Amino acid sequence: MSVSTKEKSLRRRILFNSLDKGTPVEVVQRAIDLLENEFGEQPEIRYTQLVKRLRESFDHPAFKSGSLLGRIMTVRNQPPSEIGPDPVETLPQSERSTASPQAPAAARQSLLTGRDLVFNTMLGHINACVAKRSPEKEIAYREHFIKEALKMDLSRECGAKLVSWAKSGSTTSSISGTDEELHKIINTAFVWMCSSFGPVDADKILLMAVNQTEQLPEAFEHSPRKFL
Amino acid sequence: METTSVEMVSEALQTNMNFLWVAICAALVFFMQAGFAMLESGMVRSKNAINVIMKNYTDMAFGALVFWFVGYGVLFGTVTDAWGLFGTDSFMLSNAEPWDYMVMTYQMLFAATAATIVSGALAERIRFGAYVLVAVLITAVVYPVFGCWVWNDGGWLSKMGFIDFAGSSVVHSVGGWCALAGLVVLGSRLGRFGDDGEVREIGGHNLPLVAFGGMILWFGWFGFNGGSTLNAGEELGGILLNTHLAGAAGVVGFVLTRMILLDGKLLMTDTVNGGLAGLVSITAGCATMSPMYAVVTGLAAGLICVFASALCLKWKWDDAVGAVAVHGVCGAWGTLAAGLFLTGNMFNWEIVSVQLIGIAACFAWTFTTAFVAFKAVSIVVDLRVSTTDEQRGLDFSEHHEVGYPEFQATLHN
Repeated sequence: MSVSTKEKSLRRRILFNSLDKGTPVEVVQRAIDLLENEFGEQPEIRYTQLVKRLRESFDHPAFKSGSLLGRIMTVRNQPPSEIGPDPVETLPQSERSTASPQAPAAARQSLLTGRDLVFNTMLGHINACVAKRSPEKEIAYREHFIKEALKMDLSRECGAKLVSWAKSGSTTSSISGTDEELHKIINTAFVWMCSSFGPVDADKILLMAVNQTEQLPEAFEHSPRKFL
Repeated sequence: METTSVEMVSEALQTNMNFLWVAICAALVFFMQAGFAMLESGMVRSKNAINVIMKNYTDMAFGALVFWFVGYGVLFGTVTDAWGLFGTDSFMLSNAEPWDYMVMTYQMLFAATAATIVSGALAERIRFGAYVLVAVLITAVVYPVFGCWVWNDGGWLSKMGFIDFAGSSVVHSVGGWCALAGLVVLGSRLGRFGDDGEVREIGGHNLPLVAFGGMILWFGWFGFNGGSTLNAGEELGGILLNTHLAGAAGVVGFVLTRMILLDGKLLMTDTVNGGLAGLVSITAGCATMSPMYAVVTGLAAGLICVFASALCLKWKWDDAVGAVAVHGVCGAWGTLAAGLFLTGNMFNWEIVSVQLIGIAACFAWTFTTAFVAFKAVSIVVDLRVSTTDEQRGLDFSEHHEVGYPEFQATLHN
């Protein structure tokens, strides 16, 4: 008897929403992967086994805490409608994951509106400038975000989308967050550009990205400068 | 009877002339603050221009009060210790002779000059509040103590016969070495040096302002060196000529060094610094050497400035305006030159050795105390701005206004 898509989603939601909120995005990703790969096809899931496997597989405090199992039980006993979101909607997709494929980047971009559209357009312009200025450094640029994502104190969703975009290699992104979080992302890009191209070029790239982004009608209401 | 009357009138006239001359020179030295403000702000990016000018404004203001409160007494008060280290009276000068007020006013502006040299070097990265605290410590302790050693009759270097007429060491090297300590503690601006040691140029936003600032400084130098006589006398001719010749020779020395020994690139900003290097170097010996040697001193300063700047970059000291090379190193060279080229007693090893001791003492005292001052201030407040502030510019992050709102894009609005 195969496990339904709905049941798989529920299991992911239970684990995802039981983990400590400060758990790094990549650690969450690995936990979800383990759940999918080892328990995905089991009709009945034993959460004690899952926690045991997590502790064995990952040397991380998030899984050492004895309260993880307790939190899982608490979340599981809630009505499904009250359990938080499915991480597939927020976390980056891994090769082994059985999660449903993401929407095409362009389609996601078109769904963005207002401030998020302005921010993601600006990030895209910065990315394009980096790629044009030094194509061989684009990978390093994206890896910088993956490395720094954990230090940026972003919300789980914002961090996951940032990492997802950085890993995907896509030119477009669908990151959303508070103004402060979005500024941190731009500042992280600025710091990388300073170290790679020098501060003058970093300033120029930001200026160019702002000017290009200001062509958007949405930029009248949501100035890209507030992300600087 | 008539002769005595004429002598009295003559003496009164001379006294008034002295007052007038020193007052004019004080105003000229004050005007140098405008030169520093223009030169330093022109050399930084537009997003930091206001911050640099604010530092110039406030170090002068805080420095004036602090120097009146404590600095003047430390520098010119009666030295009571056997080692000749610092003065112990004349604090918060009041009910004094008019001449004392005149000297204090003039010296107060010298102290501000020493502090303001630091502001340019550390531009674009130091927190405003932290800088003001450091400037207060410089004008209260670092500058007056070394000044006492040299300019107070009871100072130990003064007793040894150390020559520093208008302050190549006391003002300029002190400012330069304080700046160096700050550079070591603060580190370089984001991305100034690549991982492979590549030096990334950070050009100034307004180079005509730099040139104009350089000229104002040169103009003010006539008051800086000329006023140090504290006397409107005939010796002014030689002092002013030497000052101008050395400044000119500094420019020529820089240009020739670039064209003959190096790549031939004649940057205007470096040329201005060449002139300043010549002026800094003649400050110690402008009253005690012949014009010929003033030229030699200035030419050598132009050359030294080029190589000192290169060394600073090699050692990754990110000096935004070249203050360490111009004021620190060329101040030391000028102090040595004052001993080497002393009219009537040139190349006298005894004199030169005293100059060398003074140069070493200046570096040891200033660098150490300034280093401690920067570290101490860093315990109280954040010394360095965040990467966000560096990105947005210190005009906005520190002062909530920008110099050029019409075209500055790195603005949070």
